[in-house]
Amino acid sequence: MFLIVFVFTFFSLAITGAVAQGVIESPNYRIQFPNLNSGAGIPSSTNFALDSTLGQTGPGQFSSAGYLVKSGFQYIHSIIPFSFAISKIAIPFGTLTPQTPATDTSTLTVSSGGAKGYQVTARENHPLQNNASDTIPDTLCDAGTCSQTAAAVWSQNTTYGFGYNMSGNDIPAAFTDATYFKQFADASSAESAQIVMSSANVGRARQSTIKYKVNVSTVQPAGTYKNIITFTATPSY
Amino acid sequence: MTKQIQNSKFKIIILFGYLVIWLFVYLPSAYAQDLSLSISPPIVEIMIMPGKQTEQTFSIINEGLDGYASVKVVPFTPEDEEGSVNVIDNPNFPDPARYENWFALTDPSVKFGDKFFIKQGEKKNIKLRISPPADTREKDYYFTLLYEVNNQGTTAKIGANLLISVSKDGKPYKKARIVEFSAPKLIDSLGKLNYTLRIENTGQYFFKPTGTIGINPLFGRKEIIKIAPVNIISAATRRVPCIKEEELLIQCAYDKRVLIGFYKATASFTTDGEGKEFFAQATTIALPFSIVFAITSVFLAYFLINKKSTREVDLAG
Repeated sequence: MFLIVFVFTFFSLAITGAVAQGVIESPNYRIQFPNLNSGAGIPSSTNFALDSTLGQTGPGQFSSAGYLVKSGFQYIHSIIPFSFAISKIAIPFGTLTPQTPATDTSTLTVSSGGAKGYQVTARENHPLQNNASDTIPDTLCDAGTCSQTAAAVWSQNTTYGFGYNMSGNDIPAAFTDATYFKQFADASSAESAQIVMSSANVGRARQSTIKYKVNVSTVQPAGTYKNIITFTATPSY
Repeated sequence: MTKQIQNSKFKIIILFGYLVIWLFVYLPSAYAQDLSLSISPPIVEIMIMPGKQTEQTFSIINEGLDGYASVKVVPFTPEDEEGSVNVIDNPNFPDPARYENWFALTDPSVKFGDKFFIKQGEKKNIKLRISPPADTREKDYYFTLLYEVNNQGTTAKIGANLLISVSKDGKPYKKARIVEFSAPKLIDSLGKLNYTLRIENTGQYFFKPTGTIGINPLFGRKEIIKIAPVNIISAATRRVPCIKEEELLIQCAYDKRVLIGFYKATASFTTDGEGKEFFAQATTIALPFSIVFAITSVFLAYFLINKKSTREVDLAG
């Protein structure tokens, strides 16, 4: 039996121990090397130079007739990939009661190590809308001053609309506390996507919470209202 | 007989325990019920002659739920002075066909903008062929490769930046200007001395500043801090940080507490370590305001206490 266990363990290790390899190729060169975590010097010749940025897939530099390519930040040796996650793919508010705000949250997570700085933007395709094209407008907040670029306090139950608040890492300074809200930028009105997270520095698992809030008046037509929020994460240049 | 049964039970327990451990250790990790995507490399810098072509592989991974993905290349402009990009992800972007023939995907199963199914945990290598036409004007062009995943009406996108310099001779002329190199004119001794460096790219090609800030105090040794070689793209200004231990970006600052006297700082750099050297100076005077205030306060307090004590003694006498 122990022989079976040994053989099973051996194959488990063998199967799960596969190592990814990066490939850079051109009509003149094909350079294949593993994803290194340490290295020794920068290889070069009279015809080409290879500057390795360690720890990434396909990093480095090569030159050939007519072009030169560098990938990855040459001064960042981090092995953290550039990744982005949203914790929830649907925000169901359920049945709304007029003058009783409903909220829900999701978590945004960014690991930007190999990308140095980053930003995440958000934009809605249109305000919340039902099949009859009735809309729940984007909130103007209590004082009527908030927009997609300016945050303001939204705490009164007689203030209606749809908006969001941010808390956590790398969020815009405008979100002073949990009562400050903004509208989503509206693609149907040609508004530019707005930054919801950003940092100029390398970071791992930077996390923020976005709180969606909706409140309707007593005259809001019944129906199922929906829209799509698009989040875009881009590295710094 | 009993011993044999006990031995068999022992073996079964060991085997069961082993299988439980195996399930936890070797089976692939479970994925959360979310949208999660990653891309590598996050930036590619290409210098290419008009009419030539090159190929770059981007690895994309769907770390969330199964979904439909698509890729496209869109132009970007600088968003701010920190290196953020403003992706022009608008189908009505002026003249979208202008760059259409620059890019192609070598994998026939993937087409720009078309959706393809991507399983949870799947990694795909996207091979992007880049070929600016022969009549392309010599200058820089900036794009973002966007990888997008849709699931149940939610969309998440992640990008990788492409900085493409089109040059016939491979030696583009780079131009820069120091917009600001500043520090406080007057600073309290023992305070922190920070520097602001903003560099504008006045040319047609991006560059990385290669240089240092040298700080000469009236007393003590000269200190040198390294300017971070961040990309400064054409027609943009960037607030440039400093760099420590090769990859840690930091605020440009005098590492020690300032004492007293003049602190003369010189920022100097070249574009990509070549050509003309650009430099600017900033001078700070450090004076011990808080120390003088503290000493004065102590003397004043001592004087007042002493005076009160003398009066009490006089009254008692």
